[in-house]
Amino acid sequence: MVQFLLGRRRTKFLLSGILLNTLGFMSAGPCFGGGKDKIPNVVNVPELLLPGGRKLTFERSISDQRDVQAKKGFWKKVLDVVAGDPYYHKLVRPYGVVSDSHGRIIVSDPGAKGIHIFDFAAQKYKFISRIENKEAALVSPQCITVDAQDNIYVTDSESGMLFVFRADGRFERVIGSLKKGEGYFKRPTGVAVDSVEQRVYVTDTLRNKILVMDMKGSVLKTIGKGGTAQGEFNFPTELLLQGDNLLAVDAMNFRVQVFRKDGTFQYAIGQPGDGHGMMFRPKGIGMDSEGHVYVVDGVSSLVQVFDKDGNLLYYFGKKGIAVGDFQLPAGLFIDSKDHVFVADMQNRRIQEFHYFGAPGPAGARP
Amino acid sequence: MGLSTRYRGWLLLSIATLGLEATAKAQVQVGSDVQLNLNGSLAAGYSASYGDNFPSGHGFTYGGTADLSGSYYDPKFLSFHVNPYLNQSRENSNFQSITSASGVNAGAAIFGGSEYPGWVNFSQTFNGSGTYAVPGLPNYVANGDARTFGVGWSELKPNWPLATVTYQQGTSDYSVFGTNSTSNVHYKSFGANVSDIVAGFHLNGNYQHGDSHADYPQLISPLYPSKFDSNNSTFAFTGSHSIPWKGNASATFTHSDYAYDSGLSNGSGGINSVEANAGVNPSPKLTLDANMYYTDNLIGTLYQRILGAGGAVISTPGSSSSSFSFSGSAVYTINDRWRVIGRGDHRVQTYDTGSYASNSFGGVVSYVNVLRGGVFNFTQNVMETVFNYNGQSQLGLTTAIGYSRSFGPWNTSGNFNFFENQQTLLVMYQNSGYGYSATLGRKVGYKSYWSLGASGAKSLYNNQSGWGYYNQNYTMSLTSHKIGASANYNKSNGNGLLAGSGVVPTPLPGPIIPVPELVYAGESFSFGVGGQPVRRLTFSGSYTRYKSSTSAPSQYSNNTGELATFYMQYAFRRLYFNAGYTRIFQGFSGTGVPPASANSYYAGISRWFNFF
Repeated sequence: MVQFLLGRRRTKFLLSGILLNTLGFMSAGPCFGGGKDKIPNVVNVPELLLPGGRKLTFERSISDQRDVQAKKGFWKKVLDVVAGDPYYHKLVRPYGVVSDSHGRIIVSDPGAKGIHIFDFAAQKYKFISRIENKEAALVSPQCITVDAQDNIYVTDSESGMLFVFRADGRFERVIGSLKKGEGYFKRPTGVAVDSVEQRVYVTDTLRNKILVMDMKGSVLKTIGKGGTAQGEFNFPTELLLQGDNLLAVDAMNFRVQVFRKDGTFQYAIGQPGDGHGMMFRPKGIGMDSEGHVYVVDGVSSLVQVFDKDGNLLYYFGKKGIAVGDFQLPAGLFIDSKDHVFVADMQNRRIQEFHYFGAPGPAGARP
Repeated sequence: MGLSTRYRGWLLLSIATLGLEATAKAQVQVGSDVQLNLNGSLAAGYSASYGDNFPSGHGFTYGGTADLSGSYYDPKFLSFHVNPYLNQSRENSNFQSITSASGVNAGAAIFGGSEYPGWVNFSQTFNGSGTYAVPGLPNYVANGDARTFGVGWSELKPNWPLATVTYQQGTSDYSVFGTNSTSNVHYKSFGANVSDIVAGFHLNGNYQHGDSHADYPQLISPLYPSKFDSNNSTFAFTGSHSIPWKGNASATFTHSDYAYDSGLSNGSGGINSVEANAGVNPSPKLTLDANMYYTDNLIGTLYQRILGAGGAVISTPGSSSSSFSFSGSAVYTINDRWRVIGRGDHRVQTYDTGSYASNSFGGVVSYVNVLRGGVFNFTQNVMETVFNYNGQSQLGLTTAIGYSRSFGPWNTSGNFNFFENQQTLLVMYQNSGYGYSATLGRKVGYKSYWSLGASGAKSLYNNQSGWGYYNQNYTMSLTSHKIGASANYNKSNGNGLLAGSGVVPTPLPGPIIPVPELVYAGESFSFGVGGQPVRRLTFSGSYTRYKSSTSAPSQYSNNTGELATFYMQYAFRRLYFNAGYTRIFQGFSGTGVPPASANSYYAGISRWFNFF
């Protein structure tokens, strides 16, 4: 049993037991701690033990600006007592999440109409807002990604534009501004950037297409069309560019389609349904270092993990407010060190997990 | 040198308060059933005031507000709120009182989730600012104490008649700034309503009773009554039922009793009236309506209108009176743009020992359409009325025309209406007049908008020279991203009544109504500015200058006033640095008292707490 501190609240949690659900080879049944009404002071921190020495552990929860701040000194505490706490930005309805090369966690928040940047290393926080800019207002930021220079790309489904910000948060440019009354996008959602080939991929959900553009926003080609066949879409949403693979969530066909970057269809994962291994409301996607595909299911409030053949390996999460629970989860991101970030939208937080792959011959993990 | 006992106490209280706020920031549960929330602000500062006919002084002052809310067992069982405030005014907070007001507002709802919900509310204000009205102009400033209390209860049981009972009472003791006159207004009212549906009939019974007392400020004329008492009771019963052709028919019987005592006269009366309505929609484009109304005391209904407006009646009703009317109309919608209405009515009225009857026929045509990029609307009403008591006929006209559209960056709109020989409540009286309004605005720069507006209206009673009203208003505003400013000019004159709340427009032509004659005229100019020029800093300021005259038999009064307020606030976390200034100047020549002026300043700091 291990005690550790979790986030700003310094609530003591106990690390014990197996709390993530696995299917088939899972080591315990579904059981997350936590009551229905409020987060209890002591809960079991999720840890999933998987075959081959793999495991997935809960790392931390991020809900507001205070989570990145250093411990306050005496005079700051005095100032807090005399003048009250300063205003802290909070996650309102986090939707998309990404981590850049510096480990900063960047969250799109349509509820706050902006983007949160949590820099834990530097203990700094920044909020990006452009709601007052009438020419290019950031109204409903959705999916978010970064390029090799840590420039931030975020789609806005309401204004129909793709916003690009520099790594320091300064506005860079916008792609998809209206031209003669019609924009590039009807409803841009998913976004992925290929820094090597200088390409930007954006899903236009209402057009059932993925647009492939150069970095200036000129459309070079499109992938897909409306339909149910392979390579066709029915309201595509999230995108993930992983190596030579382009993964797209085909939301209303209840599957994830995998293409080559040139648009060639490779394979698909998922089938409709609300049972385990099925997709009901697929949202965010990610891929870990072992090539497992993580798919968030918004309504079922869980994350399902598939292998490349579409077999369900395990899942974690259930509907609730306790640690490891989700309520309408949306975006998901996995960084190069297999940290798994899930935008727990209705719980107004980002939950970070850590996946430990199979140990190497000497016990080292990849 | 150590702190005095008084300041040590304040220091300890402050530290304890800060500590409480720092440690308790959530809803508090008292026992197992009571849940409480409390937040509020505490303020301290320095204020100074001086003026003519006004006590001067300066020194430290304190104040604050609180918001205590909670519930017992469940919010649907009992919920309540209490909001006390201390020394709040325009110069130290967002309160709108010109004087430093203190008091409390409180209310509770019980059994809110049941079939028998009830409520009660209470408010008490000390040294609050009130108003003394002149129609069409900014209010003169008064200050005093006021208290209200209300309670109500409903029965909402399914399949039972729905019932609601309410009781309200209030009192206000005030003085108009710049006079040595004090006044008060007291009222009590009781109401009960029962409704049910029986065999498809919607039935409703209603009872209202009100008592009022007013001591009028002696600003106008010593011939005016100094006090006025009145009471009124009304019982009404309504039944309605749907009829073929998607129609509805209803009938209402009403009985009222009223009584008044002005010191100069007193009287009482009873009124019975019956009204029946029927309307059908034989086709989607056609609506037919018919109305019948009878009252056995026409003059009594006019008295009630005066009493309802708060005015005093100074003579008793004369001979008996009655009124009967029957009217019908047909509305036909030709298309989205055109609509025509045909109307007719027959009226018979008896008062002043005479009988007066009329027959009217006419129609209305209205048109609305998009025209040259704007929206155009036009309405023309023509009514021919034949009076049987003199054999003459009269043509009544009403014309209304409006247009709005944008010309490039300019947004414009204009409306004009003209009416002539319009029938009033009494067959013998008609009125004529016009009204207009126009707005012009455009975007200025990137985030600013400028607008200009003008409006006016005039209404006169035919053959009753000097009775009517006229007002005009001009306004201009400029709003930007961070700051807004506006200026306003008003001018008005007409016939009015003296009421406890000031001068109110007369609701009826004078010759038939035994009210003290009062003519008012005045004009005012005001401008205001406010905004948030930089983050955390807000400010607002206004200046109003107003003057008017009120004339009554043997008395004429020139009234003038000036009010300037400024308030700024800088917020740092939950600390607020406040500063404000107020200047008021007001005088009434009819009182024989010199005008009074007062200037006051405030600078202080307040802290908002979320206690629990």
